Amino acid sequence: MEIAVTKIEAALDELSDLPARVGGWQVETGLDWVNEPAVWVWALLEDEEVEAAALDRLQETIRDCVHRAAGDAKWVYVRFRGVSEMAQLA
Amino acid sequence: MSLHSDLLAQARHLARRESKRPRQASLRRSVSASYYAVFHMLIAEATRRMMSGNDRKALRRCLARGYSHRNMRQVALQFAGGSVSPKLRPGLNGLPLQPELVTLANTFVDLQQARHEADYDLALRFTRREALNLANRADRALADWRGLRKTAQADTFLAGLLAFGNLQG
Repeated sequence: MEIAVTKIEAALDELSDLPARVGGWQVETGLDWVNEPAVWVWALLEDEEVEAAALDRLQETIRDCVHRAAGDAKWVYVRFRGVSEMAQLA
Repeated sequence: MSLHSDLLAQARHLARRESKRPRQASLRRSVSASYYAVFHMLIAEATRRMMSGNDRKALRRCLARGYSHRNMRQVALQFAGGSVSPKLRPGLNGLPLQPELVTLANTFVDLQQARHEADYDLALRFTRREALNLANRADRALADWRGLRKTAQADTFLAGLLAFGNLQG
């Protein structure tokens, strides 16, 4: 089943009062290593220390949001990157 | 030091290795080591529960070769989603899954995928923060396990990791 990346990004953009400051999102869809449809979300965090508990809550918030937007059937892989790290990836 | 502790230490070391511009090779090996820290911890725990004693060390090593990544994923997915297969459910003795076990199963699924990408997907690039976060999650999984071990739910999880794919009916 095709999963709309734009729909997921729009849902993530609507999130407020997040437990950590997020400067942007990167969303991809595809098949994971067992060929199951999955969603990948990279939360681009502002360059500051974030407690592990806050990242756990953020991860759960993102998963819930993606499941609401794209359905429960897919695993959501959530990863965290720093905003300033993005230049190194360019 | 155990193998899994060493792997976790290696994961952190590699993620922090180049202070300015981390090499992808370091980050990829870090991610892989984080996964294998949890993978080997679970297998060590499971085989020790099944065959204890120094005189069974060689047998434990034989048994450890019987674990497959795919079967372990299947079981971890069940525990992460809180819906354990009826084939395994009797082992829970009617007890609910501990939140820490659910989190650990979640972490296992995530780390396994990340490890696959780190080892095989050259199109994907990792960042230091990403690798360190995965190492932190592996660390938490190891720490949480100490509070879970020997419970009926943890034993059911361990049994499933080895045998789920071969359970009949």
